Amino acid sequence: MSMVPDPSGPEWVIEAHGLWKSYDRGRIPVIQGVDIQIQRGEMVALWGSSGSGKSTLLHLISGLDVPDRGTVSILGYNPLREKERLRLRRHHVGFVFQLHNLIPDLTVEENLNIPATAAGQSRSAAAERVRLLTAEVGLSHRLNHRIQDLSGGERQRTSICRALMNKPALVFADEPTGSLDEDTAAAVFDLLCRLVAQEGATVILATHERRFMERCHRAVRMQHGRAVQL
Amino acid sequence: MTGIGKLIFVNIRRHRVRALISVAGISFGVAAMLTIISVVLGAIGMFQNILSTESNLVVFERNVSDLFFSSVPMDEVGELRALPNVETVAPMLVGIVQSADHPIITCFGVEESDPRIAKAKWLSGDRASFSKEPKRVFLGARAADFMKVSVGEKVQIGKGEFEVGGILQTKNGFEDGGVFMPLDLAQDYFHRENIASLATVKLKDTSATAAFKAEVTRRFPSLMALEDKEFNQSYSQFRILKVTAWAVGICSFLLGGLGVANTMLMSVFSRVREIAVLRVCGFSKWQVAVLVFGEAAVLAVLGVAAGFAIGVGGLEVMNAAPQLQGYVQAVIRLDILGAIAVIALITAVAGALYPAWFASKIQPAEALRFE
Repeated sequence: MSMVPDPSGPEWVIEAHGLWKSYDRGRIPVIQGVDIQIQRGEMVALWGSSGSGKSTLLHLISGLDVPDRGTVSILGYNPLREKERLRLRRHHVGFVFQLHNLIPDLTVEENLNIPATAAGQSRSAAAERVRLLTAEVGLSHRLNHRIQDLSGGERQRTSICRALMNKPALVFADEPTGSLDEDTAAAVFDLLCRLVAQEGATVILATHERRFMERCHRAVRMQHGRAVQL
Repeated sequence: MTGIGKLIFVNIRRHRVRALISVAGISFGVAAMLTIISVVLGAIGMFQNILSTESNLVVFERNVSDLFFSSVPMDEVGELRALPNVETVAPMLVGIVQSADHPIITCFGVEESDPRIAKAKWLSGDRASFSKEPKRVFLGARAADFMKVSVGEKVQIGKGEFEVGGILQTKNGFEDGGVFMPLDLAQDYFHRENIASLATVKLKDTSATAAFKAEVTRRFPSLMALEDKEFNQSYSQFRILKVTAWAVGICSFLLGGLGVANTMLMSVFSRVREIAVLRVCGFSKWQVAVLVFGEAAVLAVLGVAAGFAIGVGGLEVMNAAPQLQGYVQAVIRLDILGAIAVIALITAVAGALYPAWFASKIQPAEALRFE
């Protein structure tokens, strides 16, 4: 498979077929024969209860993890190959996690610079992008504050900015509101929706909350490691 | 500062105590190596100066392990003097004795014309009186100082009592802390009649050095002549000292390296999740390894700087300490400093090899699975 996708882009940004994944040497099956295709510009929810396999599926179709069996194509890249996986992470995908996974001893600006450093962005371009994104999420005044000094909502907003630093085509969000109170969760979700729409990114969201699932274009219900289209 | 450099310093700052312990480990290794090597080189240099004063070659007994055991018969010294290319020959008998409160005093039995005597600065007494009176010795300035005697007083050296005939100052710590005796008095005192330990030779034409050495080998099968440089390289005592110094130094570095390895392993283990996030954000395995190596290198640089400061400070104290009687004249050479710094860096980077490998193998999905 070519390292450089077709410039016109595939219709499906993600194509996964026959995905299987288990833990503990096959004793704990987590994903069992899932097929999934996602179109450019879609906002897709992987919805299900805890332990249903939605996070694992998200990891498999984002290139964070590799399946035991099956094939995955992300923007035409083969994430089973380290080089292609690295290029995807550097330039084409962004991640938002339930626990923000920011580096607490760094400031907001320094955290946002991490993807830019990995991608080899110039300092000026990175600084401009940081300025723009933090203005969008209302964190301009917090740029030089360390993560440990931020509230939960501010941390998750920083996390969203980090995911969007390199203008990714795909954003994967794994329970991005799971650790927030109801109001903050709604605000963060609104922000995520608005920003990815502005950026024109495709979003794949793992969530157990119906209210967020219902706001997506499409939902895939996960049950016992199997996908059910809703 | 941005990027990887910032991450390196943030992590060091985050674990200050751990980093400090690691830096201390490296710095002690550096200081130990610097001190030992500098002292040994200083000692070798002083000894070498004694031998090479106004001479090109040293003639001594073949296959002898230590110059103190070397015997060069005075008849053969006379024959050496008669060789055509020889300008001067200075025989010397070296011996070690005890004195009150001082377990080791080096005695140099030399002739009146010896260049070591000629070049010294006479603080009291007179060079012209050297060899004129029996049972008269001449003290180096430091020896006179620690023995607390002056010209005309009696001094106990070993089992003999001598009169102090003069006090002379040289730039050499061994000589300055030693006792000069007329050669015949030294031969008598050490029961080595008609024997010198060695003879230093100055040639008229140094381009004929090889011919002179060959002539010595031919005429005196029990002796050998070596140029000063050759002597430094081949004298077994010097070699043993140098090898021991490097071996002790490297052992202390290995301990420092283990400290770095432990620190870096702890550092990696305690931030598996953080490294996973870096990988998710697009850091390559190599960039993650650079983070770990960079941290080890910073610790090493800090350790080297601190070690040099401790080592140089310690050497200064040793140089100035009256108890050491001037026997320590440390030589700090730039090439040695460079070699120590390089060894410290290599040790630190080697200590970071496994932690870096471990860090680069962290799988983001696995590390982030349990939120």
